[in-house]
Amino acid sequence: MISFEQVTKRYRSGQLALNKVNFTIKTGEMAFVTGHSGAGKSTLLKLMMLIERPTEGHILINDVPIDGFNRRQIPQLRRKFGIVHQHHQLLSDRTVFDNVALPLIIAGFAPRDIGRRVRGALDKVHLLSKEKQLPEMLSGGEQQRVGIARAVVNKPPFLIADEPTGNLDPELSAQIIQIFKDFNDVGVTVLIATHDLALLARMPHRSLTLREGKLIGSGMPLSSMNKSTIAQDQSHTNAAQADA
Amino acid sequence: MRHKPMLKGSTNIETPAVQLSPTQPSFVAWRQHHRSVATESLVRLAKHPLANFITMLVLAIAITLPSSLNLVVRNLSHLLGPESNTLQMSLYLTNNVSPARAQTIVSQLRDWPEISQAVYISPSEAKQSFEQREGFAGLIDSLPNNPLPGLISLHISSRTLSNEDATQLKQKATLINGVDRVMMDLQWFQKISAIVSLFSQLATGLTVLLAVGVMLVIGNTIKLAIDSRREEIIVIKLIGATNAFIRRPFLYLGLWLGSGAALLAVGLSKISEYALTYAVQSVITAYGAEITLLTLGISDSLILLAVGAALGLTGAWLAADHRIRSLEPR
Repeated sequence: MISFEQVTKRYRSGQLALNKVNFTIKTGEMAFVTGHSGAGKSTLLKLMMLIERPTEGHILINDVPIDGFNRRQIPQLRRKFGIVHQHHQLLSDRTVFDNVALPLIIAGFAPRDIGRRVRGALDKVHLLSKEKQLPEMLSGGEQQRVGIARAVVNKPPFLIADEPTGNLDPELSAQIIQIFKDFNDVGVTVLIATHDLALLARMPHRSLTLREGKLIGSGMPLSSMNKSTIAQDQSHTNAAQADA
Repeated sequence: MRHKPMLKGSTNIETPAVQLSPTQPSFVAWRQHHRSVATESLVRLAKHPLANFITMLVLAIAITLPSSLNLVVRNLSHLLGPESNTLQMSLYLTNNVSPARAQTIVSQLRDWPEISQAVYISPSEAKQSFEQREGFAGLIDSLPNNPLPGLISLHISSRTLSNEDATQLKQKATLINGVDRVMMDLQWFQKISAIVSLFSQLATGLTVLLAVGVMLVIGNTIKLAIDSRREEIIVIKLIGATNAFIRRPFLYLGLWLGSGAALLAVGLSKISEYALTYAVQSVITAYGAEITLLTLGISDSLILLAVGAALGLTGAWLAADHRIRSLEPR
């Protein structure tokens, strides 16, 4: 479970990135974070992993407030999150296998387990045959899938993605989202930040809508509704959704 | 809070197992990890053989200088200093001391810890030696009495004898009943001691300076290595790597650089020692003296290796700790 309680983030530059944001994502839920660029999506994700710290308010991961975590507690927190980036962030001088193995090596797994789990993760994203290649030899969609394999290889309870479909065509985007859904189906809590509204409209999942740092919507996208009115309607259902 | 997997439909994805308690690293995995990190650091070193060899050579020279000077100091103090038994003391006895009494004094002196050798030379022996040595046969005979007093010649052995100790020893000897005068070549001893201690202080100063230099050079090499892997460090921090984990390969790099340099330094020392011994030996032979030079032994070499490794590790630690902490994902 991920809970934000009155979370405000003001950067040193004075920019107000998040303004008194409240929401809860339940264990096993799949949700989206949307909004224009600069609306605070990335800040929201960064706060969860303590890349940034909230200026005010509390963030709870599985009921544990993380805003008081010290430097030594951060790595353990981050291992609970599988993270998929828009710019996949793969290490270019290591093979696909070695890239995917990183979270396991960091967590201190034995080499035998590492081989088994890495191949399992690569199998899930249908890239088992590419394990010995370097990331740059793969297509954009394949690189993104390697990123996903790396994010899930450690079987984290949370899967976080920041614009995972940003560079991909609609068909590939759908594939990637399907992979996320597969993980959600087995109980992984999934949170995807995206501004791809077309993608959202097809999804029966809750989406948190941010505008200028404020959470203005937190409900199901209604594909029958006019997109421009979604946000307004959702802001009224905010409280109801939080209780649900 | 542990989450309940919700299996929907048929899927080939495994259920997430232990989710909130990351696998505790076992000792075997830890050892294997260290081994692979150590090997990887070595491989990275070997990827730029020339550059790294030159770095190590610079470090080796910096290590060889003070270690050689230390060896010179040890040789000096071995040959000329207190350890060499060059400090002698002569006790001139009063005329009324009988040979028997003189022997008693000798055995009494032998019990003193500082005395390594005590020999009684009677007036007649002194006369004999004087005549032989100085070529004045018959000169003393022409006098009514043998003017030479009885003498006890002492070698002082204490390795840690300071000037104060030597002066005290001299005073103590003066107080012995039957001893007329005590002569000690204290001035010579003091001069040698001063020279040896000067060299020794010089060596200490140089050791400290160059140790700091070695650490700085290794630290700088590590800093460059960290900067060249900046992106990688940020990525693995993002996926939960601890600073210790990130630091580890760089500490091994420092360890390898330091021990490699020390190994080279042992080689350099041995080469210069071989050349020097040859030169010094010929001088010594020319003077007809029998002197063995102290050389860099196995234990010295091991100490040098340990020091090199420690300097490498410390330098790497100092450089890496701060640098890695400052690299954070944005």
